[in-house]
Amino acid sequence: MDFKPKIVIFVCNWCSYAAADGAGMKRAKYPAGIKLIRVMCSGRVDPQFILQAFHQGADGVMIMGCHPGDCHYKEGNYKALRRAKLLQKILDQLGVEGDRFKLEWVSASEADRFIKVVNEMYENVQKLGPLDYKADTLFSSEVAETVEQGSETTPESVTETLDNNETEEIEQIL
Amino acid sequence: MAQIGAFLCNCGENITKTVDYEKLKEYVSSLSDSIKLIDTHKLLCSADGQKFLGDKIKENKLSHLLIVGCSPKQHEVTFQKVARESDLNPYLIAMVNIREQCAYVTEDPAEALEKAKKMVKASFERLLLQEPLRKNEIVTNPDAVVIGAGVAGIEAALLLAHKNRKVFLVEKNPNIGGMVTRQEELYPNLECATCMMEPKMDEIIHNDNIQLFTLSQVKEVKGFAGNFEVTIQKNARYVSETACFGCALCFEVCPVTVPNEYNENLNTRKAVYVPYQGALPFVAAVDKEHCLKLKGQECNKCVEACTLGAMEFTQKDEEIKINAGAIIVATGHTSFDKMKFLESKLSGFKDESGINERIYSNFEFERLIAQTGPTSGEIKLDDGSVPQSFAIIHCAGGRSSKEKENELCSSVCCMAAFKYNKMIRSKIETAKIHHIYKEFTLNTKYDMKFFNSISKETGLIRVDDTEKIEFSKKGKQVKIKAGSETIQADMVILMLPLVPPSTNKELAEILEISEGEYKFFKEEHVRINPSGTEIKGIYLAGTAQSPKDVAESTSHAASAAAKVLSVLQPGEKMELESITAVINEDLCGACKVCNSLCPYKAISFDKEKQVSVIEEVLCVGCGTCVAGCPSGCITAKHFKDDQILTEIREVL
Repeated sequence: MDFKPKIVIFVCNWCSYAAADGAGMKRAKYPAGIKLIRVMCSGRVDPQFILQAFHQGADGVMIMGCHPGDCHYKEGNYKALRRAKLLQKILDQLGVEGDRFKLEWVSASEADRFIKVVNEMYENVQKLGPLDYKADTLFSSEVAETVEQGSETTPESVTETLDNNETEEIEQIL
Repeated sequence: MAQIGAFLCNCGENITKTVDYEKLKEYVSSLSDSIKLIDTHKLLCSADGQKFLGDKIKENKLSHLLIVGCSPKQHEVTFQKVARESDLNPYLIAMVNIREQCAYVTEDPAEALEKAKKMVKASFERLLLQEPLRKNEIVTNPDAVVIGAGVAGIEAALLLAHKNRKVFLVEKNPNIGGMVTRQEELYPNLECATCMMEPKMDEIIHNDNIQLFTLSQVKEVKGFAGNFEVTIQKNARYVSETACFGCALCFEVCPVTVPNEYNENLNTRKAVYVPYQGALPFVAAVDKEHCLKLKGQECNKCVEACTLGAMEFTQKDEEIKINAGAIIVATGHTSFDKMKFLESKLSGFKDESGINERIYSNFEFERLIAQTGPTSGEIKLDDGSVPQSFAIIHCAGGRSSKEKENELCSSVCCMAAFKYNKMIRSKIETAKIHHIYKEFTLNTKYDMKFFNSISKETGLIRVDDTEKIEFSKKGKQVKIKAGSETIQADMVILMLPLVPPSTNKELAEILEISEGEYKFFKEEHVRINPSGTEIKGIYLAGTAQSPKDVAESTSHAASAAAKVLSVLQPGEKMELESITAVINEDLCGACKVCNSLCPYKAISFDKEKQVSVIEEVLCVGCGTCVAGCPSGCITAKHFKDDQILTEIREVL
C-alpha cells in the first residue's frame, strides 16, 4: 500500500514514554510516520490537541497513559479516559472515523505492547486512507440539524449519548 | 535574542549508523539565525562530553540548548546539571530523542532522516517558546503524626521521640494502649501484657517530644511528604487533664450507668469514667452521649463531688492544625461481631437466654480472665458457678467459606486459643478443654513447642467447615454438633478474626491512601515495602495493614519509624516541582471545575476574589486541571498550550 499515514501519539512521561524508549532499546521497528509528543500525564492532553492534530494533517491520533490504578499522578489517566469518551462522540459527529483516534494504556515495562498497539493503529488508519479534513464536509447532517435548531451541546448531553457499554466501561474502571 | 547552541550526539555511532548526521547538521544550520553554534560530539553524556558542553555554553554565552541524541528520560537530568553549572537555565533545553524514537526503530535511512528533521524542527520551535523556570526549595519538617496509640503507634512514637523528633500522637479513645492492654497474658511466654506495655505507655505520657491528643481524630490532611498540614479534631473530655488523677469520687456519684465497651460490655461503667484501673492517662472522661448535664438535664453531681475542681464542662471540641513531615497510620483492628458468626447456627436455642451467658468471643474472654476485667480475672458464669468444660471454636467467622470478605486467616487466634488452655488450667486445674478447628496456624519458631505442651491434655476435633457447626441448649450447657461429633460444654469460646475498623474508609479518603485487600490499608509493596503506602510520607504500622501479633506489630512499627528517620533529616531542604500550573486570575470564570480535578488538593476557591487558586507547593505539575479548564485560564509551566500546539504543527 502506498499510503503512509501520519500519526501523532501523546505519551505520558512516566509510563508510555518509557515504553517507547524500551521499544527503541529492543530495536523494534515501527513506521516513520508515527511521531510522539511527550506530556507529563495523559490527563494533560486537552481535547483541542487532538482536534488540532487532525486539523494539521494527522491521519490518526493516540493518547497513551499508565494503566488504570497505576497513574503517576493517581488519577490523571481516568480524566483522560473520560475526555476521550466524549471526544470520540464529537469526532464521530465531525466525520472522523472511530479508528482514527485511540486511547491505550501502556506501562513502562510494556515495550512489546507499545509496538503492538502502534503497528495496529498504523494498519487500521492505513486501511481508512487519508483523512479528508475539510471544514464544510466534516459536519454530518445530524450535527447540521442540531446547529440549525440552536440546541446546545453540553457535556451532559454528550454523556447521554454514550451507549450502555461505554458507560459501564467507565464505571468499571473508575 | 536567544543564543541557541545545537549539539548532535553520535552516541558512539548508535545514531549515525541510521541517521546521516552531515545532512541533519546542514538542516539544523538552515533553521534560524538564532542558532549560534552547531557541533557534534561522540558521546555527550560522558565526562568528556559534559565538560565539552559546559565549555561551549560559557564560551559562546549560550542561552538555549538543542540537544539531538537520546531519551530525556536517560540524560535530561545530566544536561540540566551541566546547564545549571554553566549559568544556563535548565528549562531552556530541548532534547530531541532521535535515538530511541527514530534511529533505533526506523528501517529506512532516508525515512529516518526525514523523521529526524521533523523532530528537530518541532523541538526547535518549541524551544523558542520555552521559558526559564526557577528551582524552588522548602525546608522539610522532620516531625511526625502517629494515628493510633496501640502497641504499634506507641512503638513508632517512642522510636521517633528518642531521636528528638516531635511526635503528635492521635488517639480516638480517652486512653492509650489499644487492643494489647485488654489482654491479660501474651503467648508464647504468658507475659503480663499490661506490665509489658506500662513502661512504654508511661514514657508516652512523660516524653517531652510527644504530644498526645486523646479523644481525637484526624479530620483533614493537606500537603505532601515533608510538609503535611494535619487538622486534628480534639473532642472535649470535660475533665481537666492536669487536675484529675482518677480518684473515682465522680464515678461513685454519677447517676448514669452504661455498658463498658472496654470490657466488651460484660459490665458497666458510669457516664464519667476511666475504663479500667491503671488506664493511661489516668484521667476521667465524660461520655458526651450519656451525660445528663451535657444533655441539658439538671445534674451537677460530679462537679460537686470533685475535690480538685477538675470537672470542666466549659470545654469545647476544638480543631487543631499541626505541621509534620510524615504520617504513620497505626489505627489497628477491631473485634468481630460474634452474632454474625452465630446467627445461622443457633437453631437449638429457643430464646436468647444462655447465648451471651455461655458463648463468649475471644475478645470477651480476654476481658473475663483479666485482672482489670469485670470479674477481676475469675472465670465464672453468670450464675456464679465455675465452668468445668470448655469448647474453643477456631476460625469462627474467619477463614469463612460463606463470606469472601472474611475468608482471610487472622494468624494470631490459634496461638491465643492455646494460650487460653494454659490460662484456664492455671485457674481450674481439672477443666476439660476441647478445640474444634479446621486447620491450625503455627507459624513462628515458638508455636509448635507451645502447641505440643497443651495438645496431650486437650480434646481436638477436626471439622471440614466451621460454618457448619451447630449450637443448642442442653440444660445449662451448650451442646455443640461439630461434624460427626457432639460435645457439651459449660462455656464456649469463639476465636473470632481481627477485622479492620469501619472508620478505615473515611481515613483512607482523608489520607488518599487505599483500603486494600479485606479493607486493611494497602501497603506500597507487599514484600519489600510493607510499611509504606502509595502516598509518599504516609506509612503503616501494625494491624492497620494486616492482622499481626504483638511481635510483628512492633517490628512493623519500627520499620515505619526507620523510614521517617531516614527520609526526613532536620534542616534538610526538599526541592519542589518547577513544572507547576498557574491560574490567570483575570480569566478565571469561577466554575471550580479544576478544584475537583486536582488529585493533590492543590486547588481551592478564593471566595473573596471569586477565583480558583493553586497552592504552588502542593502542585506536582500533572496538568490535568489545565486540560480541564473550560476558560483556558490555567497554564502548565513547560507544557504550555502554545508549546504543545507548536510541536504538533511541526512534527506533522
